Amino acid sequence: MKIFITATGNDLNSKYDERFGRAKAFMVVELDTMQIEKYMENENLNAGHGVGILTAQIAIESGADIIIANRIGPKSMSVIKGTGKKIYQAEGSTIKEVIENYKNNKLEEITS
Amino acid sequence: MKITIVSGKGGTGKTTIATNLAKLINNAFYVDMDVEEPNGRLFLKPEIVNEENYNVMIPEINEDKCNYCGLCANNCAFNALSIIKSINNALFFEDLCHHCGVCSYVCPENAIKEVDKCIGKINYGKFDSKNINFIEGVLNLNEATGTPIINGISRLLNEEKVYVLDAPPGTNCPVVSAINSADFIILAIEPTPFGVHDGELTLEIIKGTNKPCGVVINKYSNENLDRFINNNELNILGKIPFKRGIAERYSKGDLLIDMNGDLRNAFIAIIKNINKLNSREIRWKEQ
Repeated sequence: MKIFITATGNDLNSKYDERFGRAKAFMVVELDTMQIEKYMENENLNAGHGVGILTAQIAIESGADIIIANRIGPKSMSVIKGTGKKIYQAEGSTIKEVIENYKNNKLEEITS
Repeated sequence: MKITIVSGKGGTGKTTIATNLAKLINNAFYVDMDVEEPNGRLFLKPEIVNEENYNVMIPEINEDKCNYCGLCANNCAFNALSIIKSINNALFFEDLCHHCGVCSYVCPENAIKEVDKCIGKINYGKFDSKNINFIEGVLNLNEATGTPIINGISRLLNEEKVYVLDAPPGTNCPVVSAINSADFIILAIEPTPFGVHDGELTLEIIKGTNKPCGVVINKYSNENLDRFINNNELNILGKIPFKRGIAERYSKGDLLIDMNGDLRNAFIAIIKNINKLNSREIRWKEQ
């Protein structure tokens, strides 16, 4: 199971990024091993419009099975929805904490 | 000649200045470019003689032809298209679209057709005239931006006539469009912290155009705008006093030039000052 999460830094002790489209970076983490499979700086930070849509595409193409973020806009939502991938509301501070919370079924699914 | 009236903060007096000038200047047109909330008609009370729908072009994707290659989305400068090949899904976000047509141009499968989408209206009318001298853009509710209508109105205007353009408030794309067509810019400002703050932002846009510009101070009292005026080396075209009586007449939809001789003269002074800064002379109606 691979998790896509918005990140402020390149290790698991970094805070997750509360922004989706304009997050500093993105991470794909393998749940079982807690290995960081991918770390990607957000290249679309300076785009004027539609960064949520681009981020949604990055999330889909990252190969992750689920997405964890703090709130997600309606446009990004509609891009992800069609793929059937589930989105969960992040709770916690560091990426590690957020993922632990997911493991312990503490995160709620975002559906709209 | 096109005189555009801008502000920054809303409610500083753009429409007050624009409607009074349009009525006072000989054979002038009033053009309402505040398409989200056009209200010049409340003061000029024109007879509307023609209403035209205003259309933009948006893409229509034929999913029978689309192979989800993503070339359209990659070329869209505004990220208005999202193509997800893994699930054969093409999404179009209309409010991000700027109607450039690049998606249909680059599509190798000829799967994108541009179609008309009505976003509002341009209305034509007359006040105090046998000929059309009132033009008004109206944006439909729920539309993301009125910029296309403002650009559409700009294309209707010629060099020969005098147009008074009532711009939208703020410092956004619609304002830039309204300023683009101007030969002369009037910055309406009020002596409040908010008014000065937003006026300074608008001034940044004006300075970038190198167009002649002057300031009309509305709701003028003894509050000090000297530092703002001097720091920015601005020409003061005129002052409209802060008086309860003016607000009362305004609330009834009356024009200030019809209120008394002093106010009429204040607007004549504005025209004279524009003439000093501009090569083409504008004439006003004698009473």
